[in-house]
Amino acid sequence: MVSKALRPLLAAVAILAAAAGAAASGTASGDRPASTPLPAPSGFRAELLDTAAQPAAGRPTWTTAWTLSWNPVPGAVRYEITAVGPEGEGSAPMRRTTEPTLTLSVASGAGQLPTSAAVRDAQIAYRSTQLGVRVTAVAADGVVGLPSRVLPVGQPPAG
Amino acid sequence: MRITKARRAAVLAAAAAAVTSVIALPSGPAAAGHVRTPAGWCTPTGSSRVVCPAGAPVDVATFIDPTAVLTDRSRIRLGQRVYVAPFARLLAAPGAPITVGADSNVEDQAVLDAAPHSTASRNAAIASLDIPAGTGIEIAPRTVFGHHTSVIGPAVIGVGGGDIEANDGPPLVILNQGAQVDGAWLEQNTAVSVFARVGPGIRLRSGLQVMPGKNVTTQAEADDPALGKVTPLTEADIQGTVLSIDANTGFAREYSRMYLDSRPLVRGIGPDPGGTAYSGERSIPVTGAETGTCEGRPTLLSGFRSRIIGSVCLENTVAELQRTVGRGVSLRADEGTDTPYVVGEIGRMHDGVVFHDVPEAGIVTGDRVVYGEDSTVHSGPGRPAVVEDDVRLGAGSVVFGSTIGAGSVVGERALVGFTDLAPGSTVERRSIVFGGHRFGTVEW
Repeated sequence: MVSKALRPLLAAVAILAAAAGAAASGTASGDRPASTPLPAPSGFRAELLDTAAQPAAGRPTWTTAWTLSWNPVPGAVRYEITAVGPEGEGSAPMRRTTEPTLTLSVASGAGQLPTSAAVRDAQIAYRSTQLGVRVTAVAADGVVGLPSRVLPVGQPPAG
Repeated sequence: MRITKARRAAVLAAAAAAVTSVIALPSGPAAAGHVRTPAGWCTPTGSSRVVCPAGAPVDVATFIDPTAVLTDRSRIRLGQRVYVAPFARLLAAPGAPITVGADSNVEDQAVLDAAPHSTASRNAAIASLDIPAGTGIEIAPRTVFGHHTSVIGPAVIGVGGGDIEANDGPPLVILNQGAQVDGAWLEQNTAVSVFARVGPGIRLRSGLQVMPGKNVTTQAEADDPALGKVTPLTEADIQGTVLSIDANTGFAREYSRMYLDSRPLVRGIGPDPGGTAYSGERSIPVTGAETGTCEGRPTLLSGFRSRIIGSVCLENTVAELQRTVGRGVSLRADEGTDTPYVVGEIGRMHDGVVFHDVPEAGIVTGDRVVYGEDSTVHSGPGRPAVVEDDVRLGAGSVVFGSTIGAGSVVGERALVGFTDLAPGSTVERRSIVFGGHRFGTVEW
């Protein structure tokens, strides 16, 4: 049963979902009117890649990178990635990219993988609570499009 | 009556309209002088107790919430753009000063205790660090102290060490929620995660982070990731810390501005300061709200003993809050003002409780919830915090971007992060749960 106090939250989620849907289904073409922002990026997918790193103190080390990709937005000349954390959202993009992809290091450690897999998984689980990203497409005229939802780093995109 | 989707949307729209009523205030006096010490430091005495130094332009001013406790203030030095949140404690003493570098922040209920009672064994351990006598607590610029963190002096934070690959910007340090530094030295570009601790005599090297709940008590544990207590800092850690620094320097500026507008606004039940990227206009709390809405009485009450800030919609009336809410409580909706906090009938909210939010996430709590002393309810990036009816949160526990099902019990100093708990769940004390999995325990 839904608590009475939860109803506004559900409504908020419904509104945000509707807004995201509207944004995703908006006209996306290179000949859009100048005042129409590009739609929010969609089609997110993510993967984790473990890599052996420079040995330290005679021991092997590893890093894990999280790569987020999304469908190209027609008319976009670049994408801006803004960080969102427990204490706020960045006022300026943390990264700009012309390709619809972002890679961040999200875990690292000493020893051999997969022996260290539990350590890696724990680090990723923690960091996904500490940082999310939001992606926005930018048109050739510099107009910034609608932002995506927040995507926790290190995790597969939900939905 | 069944609540339809359309009805829910209407309720939310009404709630949003209610909480975004902007306070019409005359513009405050322009910051008059440009009183700064040559090095840009200030001491929070006299007229510099809240906006420091008095007369500083808001863009460089440091803000100290009036509820923060400062002892031996002449021995406290603060750099520019420092934000000291409600009920933080900066406890200096003769021979034990506190220095906080620019662009740092000390969050709600955090404690910097420069001259604690100590023991011979603790003193002996600390001696190995060669901290000069009379240092007290020395904190470099760009240091973040999360809610309920503590530093027990003598301690040096953000000094020494060097650059790291994960950070191509200026050096920084972060202590996350509930972390502790006790008689230790943290070099620049280090981090102490939620509920982690660095013990006496330990030096944490640049590029390392103590993992959640871990208690570092030997130098080997601090230096060697293979021992399972520290890991290298990553780009993700750095980006999250930069956000905290940006957000809190914005708070230093905007709370200073609001204080200059009207001093009572930074006391008791009052508005958020607005003016930041994620909080454009000032909003005020609503009390006596209809169930699950923000349709109630917009409330400003500077004499209230705790701090309720911004778009917080409470079902309780002020009279009821006086009975159920303890001291040192900080319900601070100054960040995610696009989604108001909706707080049901409070069972009991003990001293030191903190609510805080991120943009577009929100906090919703049900009826008859008991909030233990120093417990925290915090949304996370893209994740609201939802506490359903009849939940009991233990003392010092943390709900972070999670849903706590009705009737659940979260034990003392347990952390539930990015997890949806079924109704009737029990989380053991000192457990750390992330993403539905038990991460470990708080070791101290």
